[in-house]
Amino acid sequence: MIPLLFILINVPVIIFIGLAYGLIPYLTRPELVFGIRIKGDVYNQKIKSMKFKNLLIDLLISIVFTLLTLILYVYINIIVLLILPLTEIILVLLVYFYFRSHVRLLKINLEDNQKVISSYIPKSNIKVSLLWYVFPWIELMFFIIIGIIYYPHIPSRFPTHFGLSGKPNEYASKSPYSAFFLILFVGVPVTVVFDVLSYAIQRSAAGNSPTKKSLIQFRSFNTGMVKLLMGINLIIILNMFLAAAITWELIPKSYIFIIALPVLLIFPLILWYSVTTGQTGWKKYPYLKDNEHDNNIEDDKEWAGGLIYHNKEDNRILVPKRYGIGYTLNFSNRWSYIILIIIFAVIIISLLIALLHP
Amino acid sequence: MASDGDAYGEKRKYSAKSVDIDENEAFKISVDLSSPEPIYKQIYNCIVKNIAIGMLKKGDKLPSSRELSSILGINYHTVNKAYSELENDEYIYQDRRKHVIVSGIRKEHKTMNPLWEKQIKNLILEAISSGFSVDEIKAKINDLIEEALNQEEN
Repeated sequence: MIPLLFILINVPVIIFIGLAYGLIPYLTRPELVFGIRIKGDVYNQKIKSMKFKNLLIDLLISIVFTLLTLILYVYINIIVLLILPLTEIILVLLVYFYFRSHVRLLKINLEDNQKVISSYIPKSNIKVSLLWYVFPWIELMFFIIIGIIYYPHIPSRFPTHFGLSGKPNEYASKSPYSAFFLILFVGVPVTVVFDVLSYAIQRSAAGNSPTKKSLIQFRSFNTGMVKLLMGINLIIILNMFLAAAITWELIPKSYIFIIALPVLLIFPLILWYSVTTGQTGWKKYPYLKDNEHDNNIEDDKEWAGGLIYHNKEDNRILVPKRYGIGYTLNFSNRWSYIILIIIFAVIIISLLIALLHP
Repeated sequence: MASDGDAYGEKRKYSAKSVDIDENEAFKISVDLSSPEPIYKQIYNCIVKNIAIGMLKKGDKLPSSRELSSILGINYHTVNKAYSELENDEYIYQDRRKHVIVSGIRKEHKTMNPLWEKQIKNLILEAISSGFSVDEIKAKINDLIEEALNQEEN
């Protein structure tokens, strides 16, 4: 059963990567083409055809990788299956860099003739109802209560790990620790991380001298992003509960594939949000009139490869991505490195604990 | 542009459903890099204007000078200078948590700064000597007041 579960997650991941990277050029702000700020006509035929070719190539890559996964699945080589999505990301990034080098030729280096900088400055952070933050905690409580009620029926020895053949190969004796491990030691930390991230987004400022329209769009994008993150958080908690319920034998072991289903919900959710909102919300409020021209301040040099942001003058840590929908870190700020080290430390420590566990 | 008076255009339903749109949630700062007027003075004037037109009210929080300098993309020291001038003139102050807070329109100032009175008197006398009638000057002053308080004026 496990290999099937693996396919159920791996194939959607591969399709999602190809589709997402193929669609990014359509979802980034029109003046940002393959991570390069273009002045003047951003809808010309050359750019249109490049975006379309990028989509076609990325889709082709994801089809090839899906077929590869299905072929390799027969031979059950799990290591190869694991590196497939990573290889795919490298390939679609190469496609991105190929088109990026062509867009650079189109760029006309206008002199920095921006004389007037107009900027709208928000008086307060965006407001997201506290309920959004509370929902995941209510869900956690709900599942913990179900667990407590069901606790007397949990077998005294239950499987906690399943081998490739689908047969359990690790067992735990029943204790509050082993029974609630997934909910308490995965569900709770994940929720804390999502809360921290949402709070950071709620406080994040728009850079690059926003006009009134782009500020309104950005704030709306951030509000939606907090809600999206909380939605994803709800799905992950549900997933932890389903996985725990299988070890408790509340759900029969043969239904193990259902733990893949909530995860599959996340990809359409992210795609739906990205397509309807666009990068920093530029697709929102199309009828909003802007009294100012966009501040087209030259900032290509602050984006290495259009992907990595480094700007000493900018005190923000969390900045909107230039190629993609979401956020990235300002690598001129030492806090960015500290945050990355903390994240990697948590991952490595939890992996070590999992490996060293008898 | 200003004739319809609706920044959101005709199809207001697209914007009205969301609570995150509020005209008074954001104030404008504009800096002209080619102007002979120093940039710190321009920022100073923008904030004073926002207080005068009621966009910035008593107790509103301003971004820190570091934040504002990264939003505008100008030097941190320039913003800092504008802020310290504003603080000297009691338009803003720093609270205990180092937040920059707007003092609001001061109610206690019933007498005008003598320097301003002298400047205005001199300008009136100059205008009269240049051939303007008193009525023309009064009308012009009214226009200027209206223009200064116009939110969209740049």
